[in-house]
Amino acid sequence: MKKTEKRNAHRWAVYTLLCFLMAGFSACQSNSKNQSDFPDFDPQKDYFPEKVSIDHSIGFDVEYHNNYKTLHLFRHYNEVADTVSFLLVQKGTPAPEGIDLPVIAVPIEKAVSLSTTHLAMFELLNALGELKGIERRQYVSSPKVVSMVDSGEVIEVEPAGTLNVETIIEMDVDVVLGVGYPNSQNESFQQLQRLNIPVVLNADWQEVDLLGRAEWVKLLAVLLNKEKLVNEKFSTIEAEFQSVLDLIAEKVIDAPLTITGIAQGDAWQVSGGKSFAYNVLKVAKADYPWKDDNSTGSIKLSFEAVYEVGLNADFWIAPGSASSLQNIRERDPRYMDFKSYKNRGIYNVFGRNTEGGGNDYYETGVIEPHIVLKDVVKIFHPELLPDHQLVYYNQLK
Amino acid sequence: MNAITQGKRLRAKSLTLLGFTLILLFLLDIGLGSVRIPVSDVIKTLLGQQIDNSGWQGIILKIRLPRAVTAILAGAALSLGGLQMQTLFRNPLAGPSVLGITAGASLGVAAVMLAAGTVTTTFSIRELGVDGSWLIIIASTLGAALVLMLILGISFKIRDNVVMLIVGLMVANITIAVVSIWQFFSDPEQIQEYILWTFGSLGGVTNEQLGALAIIVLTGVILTFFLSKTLNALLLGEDYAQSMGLNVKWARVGIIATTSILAGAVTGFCGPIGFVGIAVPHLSRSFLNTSDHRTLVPTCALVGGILMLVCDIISQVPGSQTVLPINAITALIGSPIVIWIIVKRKNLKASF
Repeated sequence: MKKTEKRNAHRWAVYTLLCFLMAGFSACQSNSKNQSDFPDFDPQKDYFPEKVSIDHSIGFDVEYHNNYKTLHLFRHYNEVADTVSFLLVQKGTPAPEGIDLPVIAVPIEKAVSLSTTHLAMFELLNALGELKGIERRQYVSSPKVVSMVDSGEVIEVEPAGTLNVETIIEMDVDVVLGVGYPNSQNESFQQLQRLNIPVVLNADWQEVDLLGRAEWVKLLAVLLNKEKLVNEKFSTIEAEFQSVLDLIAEKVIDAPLTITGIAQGDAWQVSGGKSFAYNVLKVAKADYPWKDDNSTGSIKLSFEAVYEVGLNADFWIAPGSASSLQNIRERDPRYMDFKSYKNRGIYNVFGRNTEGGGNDYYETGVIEPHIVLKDVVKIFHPELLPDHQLVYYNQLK
Repeated sequence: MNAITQGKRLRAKSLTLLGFTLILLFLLDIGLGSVRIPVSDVIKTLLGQQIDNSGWQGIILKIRLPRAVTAILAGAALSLGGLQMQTLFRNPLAGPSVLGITAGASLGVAAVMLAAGTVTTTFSIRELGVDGSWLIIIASTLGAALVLMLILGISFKIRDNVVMLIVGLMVANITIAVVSIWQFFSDPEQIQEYILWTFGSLGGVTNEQLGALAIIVLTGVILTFFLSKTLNALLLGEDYAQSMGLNVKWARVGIIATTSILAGAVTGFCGPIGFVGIAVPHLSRSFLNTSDHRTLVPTCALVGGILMLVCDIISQVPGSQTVLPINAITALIGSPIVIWIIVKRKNLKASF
């Protein structure tokens, strides 16, 4: 009997303590939501008079409210397409009550980018000052960003191939712009989220066309409250892109046959019929043996299946990492039988690659879809753009 | 006397049967593939006649023919390597990879594929005028040779074969560990390239490389034939072999060197192909119910070739556009066959 009493007393103490703790927490929480902390806040005011609309990208969307925006990221690359959302709340205004989503205060002032595909976007939006960390200097093409790393303004957060979480925490950044792959860096990203550093996973690689990939610049603009600027810049890009499309629609009659990829081991990976890589070729009017395929990634074919069509294909685009005809020949002399080899019709995306393994195609190329398209048109239909010089693509010699 | 002639007749009979099967499968392997080519055109092309579709001719002569020949050479080489290791160590689990030769070859390839990512090394290697597939072959040969030298050096010092076996396994493990550290610090694309290599490939050997592979493998096969009597003697135990006048130390060096040439060459050209080296000697012993190496050596070579051809036909998934990795097929198809034969014959123990 006495024992039970003792135990009960003990329990009581624990509960009381818990109650106090909880009371303390809730007090803190209600404090932070107190509207009197924001004397200048006007709930009726539209804090974002300039808005963006997402017309091409399938990977994200933005909703506007008076003092906050809701950002939705759609992850098509997972088995079940799911959505991750963030509240982007204007600084100096309270977060909306009753919505349980991670909050990012905008405009952001310090950002870490884990993909070179974002860097040109920062530059386009005059926001290099907000860029505080990048993945690795080695992969960067932009001379500005490289010099910022050298001067210490920008820090490498992935110097050895794995994300250094402690560096990021120490930098006290507002947001980390990651790359969303299935299961990519999940552990470190979750660690950052737990420490209230929001990780926005950019998945521009899952876009289906060039403009969709370029439109991710709007995501950065939304974080920076630079909607006005991005609308100006992006509409210029759109117009340029459309003018190339018009030219193609007007002038192109026949589509040359092309193959993609290169053999690795016994299998040859070619771009799928619904893939981004093939879409780039398709809009420039190229014929493709696997155009009816339904894969959004690449398809594995046997060597001889591709060899048979490769013999008579006019062009061969993006043969893996091969950057010269000598490369191609040494990988496998059978490639020399191809029409594209004999007629110098092999092109890759090494027009602007760096010695360290970086490639501006994946950096500036992302926000220059019209130039990429012009390159491809120049390859397939050189008579359309007599004055254009290849920028991102290069002819293998 | 009668028994011996009977045995000889049986041997001749089964070797003829195996040879016939090998030729049949060889033709089947050339006839089947992703691209459907009429039998008449296949035969015409093989007979050296011109056919209307020059693409098909290229597919048969430049893709399927070298691949089928590679399959036979690889199968024979790995099987003979396995047979020698099993006899030398008198251990049914030994195979050509047991001494770390394959691991050494992998190290060489890893050095090129993973470390070459740093630009300086790639450029310095290209300066030598070696690139692409030859570079991989040379790298893996050097890697295998490095481990071979180490193993041979140790084998001069060690008398006991069991100790030798354990040392070989340990050297293999060290080599694999070095590769895995290398992988850890490499980019995903490089790791992917390396992993694709480990799947094995028979189709990567082109006509000009085939000549080199054939010369090396045939040298190894001939050396194994000369070692038949030595292997028979070793089967009786080292002491007994010694009393018969065999120099055990030199016999061991000869066997290890031959196996290394066979396994190293195949790994260099085709990647690490597992299973065949362990399975085929068992299949051959059970099939002929003998442990006489004068019979086993040719049988192993033939059965090895046959097994690899069957696996290659399956890995090409005839009629489909896709392929499967050869390394997975060898074990997937081979293992049930080995289980079935060994359980059915129950004569494995007598061989060791």
